[in-house]
Amino acid sequence: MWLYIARRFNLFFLTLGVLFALVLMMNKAMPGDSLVKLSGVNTPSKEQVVELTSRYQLDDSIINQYIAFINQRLSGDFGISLSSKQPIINEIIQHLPATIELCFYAMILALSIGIPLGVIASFKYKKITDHAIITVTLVGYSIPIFCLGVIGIMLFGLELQWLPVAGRINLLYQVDMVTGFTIIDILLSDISYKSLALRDAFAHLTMPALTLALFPITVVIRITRHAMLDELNTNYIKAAEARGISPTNIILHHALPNAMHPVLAQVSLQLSTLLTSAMVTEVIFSWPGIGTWLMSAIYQRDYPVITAGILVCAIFLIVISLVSDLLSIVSTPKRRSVRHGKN
Amino acid sequence: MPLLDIRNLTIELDTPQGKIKAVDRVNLSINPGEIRGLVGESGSGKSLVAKAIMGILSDRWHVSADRLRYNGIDLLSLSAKERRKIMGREIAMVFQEPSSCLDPNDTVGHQLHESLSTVDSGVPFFQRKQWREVRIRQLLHKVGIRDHQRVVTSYPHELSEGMCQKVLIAMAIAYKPRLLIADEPTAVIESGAQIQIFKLFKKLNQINDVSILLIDHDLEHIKNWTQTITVMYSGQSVESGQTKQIFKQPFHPYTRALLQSMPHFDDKLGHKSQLNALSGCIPTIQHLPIGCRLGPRCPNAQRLCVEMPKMQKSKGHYFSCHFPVSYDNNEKNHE
Repeated sequence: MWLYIARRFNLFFLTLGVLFALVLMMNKAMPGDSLVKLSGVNTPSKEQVVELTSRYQLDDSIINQYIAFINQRLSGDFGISLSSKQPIINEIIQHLPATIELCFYAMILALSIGIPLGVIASFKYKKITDHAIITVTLVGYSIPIFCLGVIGIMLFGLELQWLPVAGRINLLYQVDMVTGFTIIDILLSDISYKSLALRDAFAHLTMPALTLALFPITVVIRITRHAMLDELNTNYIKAAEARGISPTNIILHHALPNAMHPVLAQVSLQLSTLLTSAMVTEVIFSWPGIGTWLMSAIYQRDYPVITAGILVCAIFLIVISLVSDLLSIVSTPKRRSVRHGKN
Repeated sequence: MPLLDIRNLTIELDTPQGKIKAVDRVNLSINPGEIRGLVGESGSGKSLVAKAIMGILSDRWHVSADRLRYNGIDLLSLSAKERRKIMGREIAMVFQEPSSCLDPNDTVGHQLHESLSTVDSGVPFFQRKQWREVRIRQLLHKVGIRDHQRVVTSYPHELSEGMCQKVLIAMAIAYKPRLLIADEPTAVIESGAQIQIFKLFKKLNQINDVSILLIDHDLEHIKNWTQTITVMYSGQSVESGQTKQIFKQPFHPYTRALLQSMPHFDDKLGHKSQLNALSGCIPTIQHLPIGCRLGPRCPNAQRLCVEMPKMQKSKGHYFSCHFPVSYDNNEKNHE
């Protein structure tokens, strides 16, 4: 197991290296002066030009530029935004938690709704319940996310006025940003209207999270059902049945834990899709996350911000896939004891 | 009254070409306290019969029978829940491919715990865990596992096939079942321990009056440890009766060929000569012959064999063949 984990980390660093190389190449391919694109300083003074050129090693070979680029980015210097003139790292810290929060709740929803429904569908295989679940899943699978978001806003936001249509929290509530996650910030703060603020934050979260979760829910249902059907046909399930163990026990303690491995693997693959749809959702619901930030940067041709956004999103996905891979090894006894981590 | 009474058990498989009778009108009965062997080549439907008794065939298989009774209860008309109750308490099964029959994600010890029913044990609930641990230790020792400590904390993939098989046998006898179905219980166990397992079965049979259906293709085992046998060929039961009687005087050509295929030291088998075996091989499930399925391979086959022969009986010895071997001689001898 340790050898495999070491190899996995090795791969992780290699992937990061390739990612940085690609981003640097992309940055070079964008129109404009390299110095401006890398640092974000528009019309730099003479001293700044000298300082930045030496910092990014722009007079040196491409290899040295690459190393300097990685050094700068890893030390937290993403340059400054062309439009807002703020350091980009501050903007990332401000926007990233909102996106992570949204994705996190969507994922929780997807797993907590998708897995039970998938299990029910597999248990009632080829019965009316199964067909109903699969049909509804297909419908959910096919609705584009922007369409769903707009319908949600029109119906629940404007027509019925149940839920707010934009933002993370009503501007009435003054919550200091500590972690960037609204719910945690509210709980940490010492305001007197905590419960009201919490309720408002959840109301704001409901529609974007549900909209974003719909696609992963359908995916999780399908994968869970499929994995469970595979598991329920294995010999050890038949043997457990022959021992007279109750179906609930068989499903919860034997079939489901084994079926979870393919589900987790698939879900971690789906995270990139989730992040993309999160950006669309953020724009629809004016959610102040990475998506909205990146979209406005694209409209304003703010190249330093675009490269920074791409880097951050890609690193986020690579880290998530590493974590899910490690989790899957640690939770599978068979993989734990094998040197190379393959079965 | 027999403990298990099966009459005309037919198991059909759904295929794109229609239903195929993988098991065709098999009869089998086990009396209380009897050890019956079920013999046949691989693919002759022995395991299918066992799984049909347990009711764990997948949806693609259709089981029908004139009679499938356990202790007077019609198993086919029971609901899944009632059936499971009987399976847990009264009938236990030892499976083939033992390592695939244990949950790979769970320790062997926990799976053993789960198999032990404490409901009727009369042990107060706070002592049950300890009681189970003691029971598990006893069971593992019984099936010949000495280092129980290591086994209970292992995951199935950390144990050898033979070890898994022993664990499965321990699980099966944990219930104190009245009927034990053992599907090639010793195929993956080293030969020294095979005797131990068979002795264990024999002891269960004699002391606890457990009836055993022993499925095996090792004729030596069958000969040594069973009282009665049923011979199957390609999903049909061809002959059944007392083990001794059949080994002495087989009526069905297939049974005779099967017995002749056992190499004997006293046979005068020449150097590099052919071993005794029927020509051809067992038909595939898509191309089953009509009538007696042995037909194309049978040395005695005649035109009549395309009709399914009726089960004939001669002194507790059943066989289904139009032209039984050594039957006429036998009759003459008695005259």
